[in-house]
Amino acid sequence: MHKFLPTAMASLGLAASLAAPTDALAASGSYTGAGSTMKWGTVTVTITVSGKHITNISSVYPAERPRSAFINKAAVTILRQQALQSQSFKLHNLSGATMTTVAFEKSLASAMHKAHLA
Amino acid sequence: MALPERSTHRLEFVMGMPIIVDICDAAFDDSVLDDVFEWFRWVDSTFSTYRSDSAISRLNRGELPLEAAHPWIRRVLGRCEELRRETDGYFDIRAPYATPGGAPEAGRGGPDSIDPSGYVKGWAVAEAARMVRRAGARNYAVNAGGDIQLAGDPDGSGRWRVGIQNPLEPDGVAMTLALTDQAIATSAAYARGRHIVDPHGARTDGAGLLSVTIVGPGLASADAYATAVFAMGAQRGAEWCAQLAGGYDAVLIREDETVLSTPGIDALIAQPYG
Repeated sequence: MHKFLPTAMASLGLAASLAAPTDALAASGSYTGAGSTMKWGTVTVTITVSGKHITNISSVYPAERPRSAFINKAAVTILRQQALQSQSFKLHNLSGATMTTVAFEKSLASAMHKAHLA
Repeated sequence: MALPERSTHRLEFVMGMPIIVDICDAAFDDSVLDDVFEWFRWVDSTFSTYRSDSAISRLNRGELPLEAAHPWIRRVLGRCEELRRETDGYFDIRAPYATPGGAPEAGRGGPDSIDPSGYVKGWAVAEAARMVRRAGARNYAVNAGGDIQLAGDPDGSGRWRVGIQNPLEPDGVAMTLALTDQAIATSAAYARGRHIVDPHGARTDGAGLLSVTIVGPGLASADAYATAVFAMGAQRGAEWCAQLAGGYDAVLIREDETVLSTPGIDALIAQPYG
């Protein structure tokens, strides 16, 4: 038996996929996706685009309690790194619930559509 | 690690949950995905207790004799009965289900009515994974609401990295496992209301448990085992998991935030991304 430490979360299994190539040139700037609501609140993703590349991703997440805020920040950091690495909104694989991933993905997809990146 | 030359990813909401299919094989004809989602829609229209015109709802109302039902329905119900015996009665499609808000489902009638959805979801995903494999894919994951059947790997690393949801935090990961050619299913109270019932005591949740994750070769059994162990509660569930065989392993997250796992889990724990 080992002690279960919620704060020890360091990784989230997410499969990265390459975004489909697109001919439409995205204007550089910031694009905010539609808010995607899950059980615990709304996730809103904003991307910063330069040329055809996403250079930054930020997101607003529900933070009901101090501990939630800490955990959320860590989880979002991982999702954010994955998306930046893959230039894609295609994320995957959390057993138990896909709600957070799906909410993040939907809002990110929306932002990428606005930026003509998807 | 090189990413595959090409990967395919599709997400649709079917059976009331997001279903995600990821295929990471170069030069793969992804038209099979149309068939896969057509399959999920057929399963939903046949087995859903939320649809009054489904075969299960008609069976429950006595309008469809079992002998006249589709052979796959009879096969599913036969396997559910085997699972009931394997799990000392804790996986029971006749158990009264507590629905959020207490409203009876359309297809649930008298005491003899059945709801095999605790098996059907995992079975449908496992069959979908077989369709993808028959179409030539070797690296894929089929994920229905967090219950996943996977093969190969997405990136040449040999494994998929799968997080187990932290049951106390919507965005937390309790543990990350590295899996291949395996299935993983998690039952907990957080996902869809407290819908798992101990058929022996009519409890509406697993005593002492926050979540149960089962890893093993097939998702149909893994999903049913997870449902059963959650209904058993912490004490009996742990005892039952200790005799798991056939390549199945378990992770129990308890209300005191301790984790119990069977010995096979240790070799599956993934190292964090560095």
